[in-house]
Amino acid sequence: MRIILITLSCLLLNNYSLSAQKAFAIGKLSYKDVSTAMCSYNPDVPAFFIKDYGETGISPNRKIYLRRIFRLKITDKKALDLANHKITHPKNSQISKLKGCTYNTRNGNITITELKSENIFKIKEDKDYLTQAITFPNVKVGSVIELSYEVEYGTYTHLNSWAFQQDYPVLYSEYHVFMPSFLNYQRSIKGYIQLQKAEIKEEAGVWGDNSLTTNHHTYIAKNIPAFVAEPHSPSRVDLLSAIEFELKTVDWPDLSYNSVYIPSNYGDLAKSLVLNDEDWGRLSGKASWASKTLKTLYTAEEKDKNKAKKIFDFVKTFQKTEEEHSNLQMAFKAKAGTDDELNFILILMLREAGLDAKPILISTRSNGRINYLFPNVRQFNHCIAYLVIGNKSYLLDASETYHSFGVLPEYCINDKGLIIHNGPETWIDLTPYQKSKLIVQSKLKLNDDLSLEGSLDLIRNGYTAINSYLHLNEIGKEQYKKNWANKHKFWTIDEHTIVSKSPSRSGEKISAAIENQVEKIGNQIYLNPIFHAFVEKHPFEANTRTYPIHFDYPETYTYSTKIEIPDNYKVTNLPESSNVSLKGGAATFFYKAGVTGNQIELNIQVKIKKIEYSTEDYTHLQEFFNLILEKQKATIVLTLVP
Amino acid sequence: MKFYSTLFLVSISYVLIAQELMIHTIPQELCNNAHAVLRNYEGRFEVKAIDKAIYTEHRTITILSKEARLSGDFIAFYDQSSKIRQIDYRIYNQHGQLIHKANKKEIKDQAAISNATIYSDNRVKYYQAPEQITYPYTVELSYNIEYNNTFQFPRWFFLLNENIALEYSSFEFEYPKVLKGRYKEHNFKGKTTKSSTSTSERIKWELQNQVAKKSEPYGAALEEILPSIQLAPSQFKFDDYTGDLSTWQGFATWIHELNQELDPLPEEFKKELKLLTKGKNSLEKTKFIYQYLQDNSRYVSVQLGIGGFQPFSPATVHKHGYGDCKALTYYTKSMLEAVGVQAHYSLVYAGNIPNKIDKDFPSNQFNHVILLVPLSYDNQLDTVWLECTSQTQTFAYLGSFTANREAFVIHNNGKLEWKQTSNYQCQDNQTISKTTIRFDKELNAKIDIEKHTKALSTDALSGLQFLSKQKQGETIKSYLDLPKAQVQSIDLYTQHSEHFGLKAVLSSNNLLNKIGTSYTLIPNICSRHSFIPPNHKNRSQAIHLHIGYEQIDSVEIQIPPQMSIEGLFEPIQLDYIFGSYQAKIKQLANGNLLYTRNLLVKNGIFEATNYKDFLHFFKTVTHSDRKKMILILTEP
Repeated sequence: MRIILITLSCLLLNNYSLSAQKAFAIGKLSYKDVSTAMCSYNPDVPAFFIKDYGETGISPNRKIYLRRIFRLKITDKKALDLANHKITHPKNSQISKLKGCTYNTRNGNITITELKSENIFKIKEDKDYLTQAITFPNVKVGSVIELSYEVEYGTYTHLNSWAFQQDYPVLYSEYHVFMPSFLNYQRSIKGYIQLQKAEIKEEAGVWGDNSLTTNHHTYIAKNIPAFVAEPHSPSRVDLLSAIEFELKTVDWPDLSYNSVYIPSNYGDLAKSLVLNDEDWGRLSGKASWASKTLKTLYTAEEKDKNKAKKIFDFVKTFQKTEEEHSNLQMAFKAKAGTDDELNFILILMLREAGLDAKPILISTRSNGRINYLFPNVRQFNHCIAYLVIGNKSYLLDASETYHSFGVLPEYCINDKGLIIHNGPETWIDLTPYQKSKLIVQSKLKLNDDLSLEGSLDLIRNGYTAINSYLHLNEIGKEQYKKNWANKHKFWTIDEHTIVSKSPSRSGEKISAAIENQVEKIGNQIYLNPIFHAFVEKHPFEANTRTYPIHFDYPETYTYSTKIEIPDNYKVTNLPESSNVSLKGGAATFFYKAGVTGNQIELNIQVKIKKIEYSTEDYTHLQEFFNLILEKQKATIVLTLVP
Repeated sequence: MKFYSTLFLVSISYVLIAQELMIHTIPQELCNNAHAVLRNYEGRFEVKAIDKAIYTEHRTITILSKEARLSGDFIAFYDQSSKIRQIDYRIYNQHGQLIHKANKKEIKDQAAISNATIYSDNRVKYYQAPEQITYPYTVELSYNIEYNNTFQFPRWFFLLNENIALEYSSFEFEYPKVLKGRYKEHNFKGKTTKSSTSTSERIKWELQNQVAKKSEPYGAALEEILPSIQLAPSQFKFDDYTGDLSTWQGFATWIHELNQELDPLPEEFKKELKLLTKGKNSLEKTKFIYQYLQDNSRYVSVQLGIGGFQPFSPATVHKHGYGDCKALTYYTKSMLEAVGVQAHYSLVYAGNIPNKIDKDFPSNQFNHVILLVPLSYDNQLDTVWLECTSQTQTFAYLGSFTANREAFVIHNNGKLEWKQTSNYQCQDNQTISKTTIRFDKELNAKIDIEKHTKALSTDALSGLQFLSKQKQGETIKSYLDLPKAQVQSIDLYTQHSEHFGLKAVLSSNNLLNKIGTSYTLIPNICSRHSFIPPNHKNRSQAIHLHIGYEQIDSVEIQIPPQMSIEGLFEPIQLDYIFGSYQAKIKQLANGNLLYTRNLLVKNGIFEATNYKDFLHFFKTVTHSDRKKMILILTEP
């Protein structure tokens, strides 16, 4: 999708440059500075940033630049590789002011080794990018390294974002922005760290012969912990402490000139795309080039939903390309297109078939959550289709081959998407259409010789099925069965069949002889009745939790097993039943074991309904999974009948 | 319809008819168990002069399924001394119709620097078939590479990789008589044709109708199974250097001469080292220098041209405080020699699987350098080997990365000596554990664990010393599967280079598992085996066990005062050619229980017919290691 590029090259920026006098010089630390530097709030850490400085402004040759200077102390051998630093930048961006040094302290003295050109290697990555590979000299445990550089990078519309938080603690992070005051930016502060300072001051600046004021932004954060990923959490983009900018208004000195449009709300953004954007303009026409094909796909008498399904299946067969075609008709002819082209073609064909289809812009999971308050087209990174038939609506993505009608790829499930139409601002929930389930049914017999054999049926629906299908498709049936066998080494597999009715519904049947679940001691047998667990490992073992908990999709796990026991044994101990629920039924767990005649029956159900939890729910979630794991380990005791 | 393939530098011209590209013309037996079939695979390596060689390849391969996609992609590496030319890549569908011909712009070119390397001049040109292609499809690709260096010659694998069948393949080697090119055939049972002109020798190998081959778990490496032709030069050129690789001594001399050029350590530094090691004996000096190396240098790999074989000079390493395995080893050697200790630069092939050097075929079979210091060490070792790239490796200890193999040692006079690195047999790699568990009336357990590891078995435990105290505790609790236990103390100790020990005291109040009116406990608290080899029916290859080990465990349990023993498991004993296992539990006179366990896994090569037993052995050990004992209350 093409982003609206606002070019301000018409600005007369002769002799204009904005830069700070705040930047610190390399090589000025004292013995005390280096030897006493420590991260008091995380003393065990193998390295930490003493200072991280950044700056964005306009260089004398009118380009936006990013300046960075950092000071890093290495406190353990594990982190020695941090002394290798790579800066990858577009080939055409100049890199300058590349300076650095290593400080070492020994016997009360400080030695400073300068970074020389022989420590810097230039790698031509490919036709577009260069990497400066820097290896600091004389680095050992206790060394401090300093690096400064400036690179032409950034645009007027979104400047350069700055991450306060890194993979190692940052004692002090400071970021400056210098922009002419007629450019007003919307700032978005991400993550969970409080900034010490976030202010904009007006300062004097020179523009050719004129003097114009400059907005000087200063952002400071202190004692920032290292970013540590936690299991089942929102995407890193939403968690990492950082600041982003988006151009909000241009108060042009010459009021008659207005080449820039910045929407004030998402409704306007959508309208503007439909009315003004060249790319989105491709959706305004009719798809007469598809009318012949449409006649071959369905008959006029067919139900609308069926028509839509057939069109959807048809577009899904197209090849995915990285390069755009000159127009949609060319893409249609080539039966190929980019993600957006495929969904545009889908929408046009649905409309041509007389159906109500609209495009929706979304931000995929890894791209982070949308900031609903501040309209910013750059937040979106994917387009899908919204189809309404009667009182039902369907979300379609033709850029993925395996998802059935109405089932969005998992990476699209990210809160809401925006309808792009010349109408009121409308957000659509990107919720899963089908229920995701794993149903396990097993029937086994415990023989007199204590061998256990029988069969296991696995039925998958929704995303549970899709993920399994994608995996199967990736590695092939042969390798899939091999992996299963390797994961279940105590099973001697007789037969393993896989049936996929559609990617959203699949079944598997395994018949095997199973060892290692039965133990005989004296005249008692200990039997573990779980042949396909819900979880192998506790997902939340850490004692503390910083970030919210997000599961991928609501899911139900249903397990039932029937085990026939030998006549000369009697069940003398069954694990207790369990029926727990998290607040509001967000997640439930049901466990019941029973005996009927010579048959043991066990039924388990785990339902994860709510997929987003706050940190306050963490301990409850821990206890929830503790109980599940405990019950999965529980054994049934059989005693020999005298 | 007839069409002609592109003509190569040295004309291998032939006519390819569309029929041959059609899938249904492949003999069925070749398709069985194959993910791809090489229809026509021809290569040629011609050495024109000591500074020019050309490799030409033409490959027509039908990709039957996704697993073999990579073998239908174009991937070729080059660097400053080589150039890839005349790339032609076409894709045909299953009916033999051309669906795509890659154009110049589509062929990507990028730096090919491995993660461990900071900088090298390696680059790759590649083109991949589109993601959504319909299988099966056929790829026809050709290209040539011109080399200015003639040190490393290609190795031709007729079947390309496993799970690929072959219709026809040929490989030709041509070299000027005076340069005496060399070759070795591996698993080759095809046709060989030799010819010569007045100035050059030419050999052509041909092979056809081969079914796909497959590697097996614990089997031989693919290079040992697949038919191939290995080539090597006698006289060669590498950048501005020439040498003779036809004898091992020739190779040693070449490496030795490269090292002679290096700028030595600064004089003041040598003086400083002499001062710091004054009065020490050779062993103490070596320990000192090794510690100095670990504290003051780090591993940085820069491979540029001859720099792939010639190290940074000791002067450079000293200046920057970094280098790769060659540089750091040579640096350490220089430091030792400055204080009067002899040390020798030694090449090895490093990796967790110790390989065997093919002595019949002198060629570069190495990828790493270590240092040999001929000293005896406390009557335990008669040679000190030093791994110079690690800041944390124990002095004189070689881990599984370089132990149990032959090293190519180059003495100061340039003479070569083959020497075995540290040799660790199964009984050397020992783990001995002694545990006591004491219960109080409230069913709280105090667990005292002592684990002592030797030789390669230290690798599993020694990493603990680099973790924070808290992380050590977490790791131990996770290993024991006692997440709720309390760690009272952890003590780690190193004795000599090849020993590492751990003493830990923990307390846990849920060691006993209540089931109805009984309580169960797994006595094997800290040695539960969990790895089971993969299942493999109809195994044909011998079983290669590279590292053997022995575990000797004992656990003494003082049961809660109010309980008595209800059930104990039967002793178990397994004896096979590749290993043995014993586990038993008995009650002592003082009422305590004693659990003893012995596991021995041997290293060596065993016949394929043992695989079923091999699998059964590990399943039984895994199951038996988790056997429970049952206690009941005698008083309420």
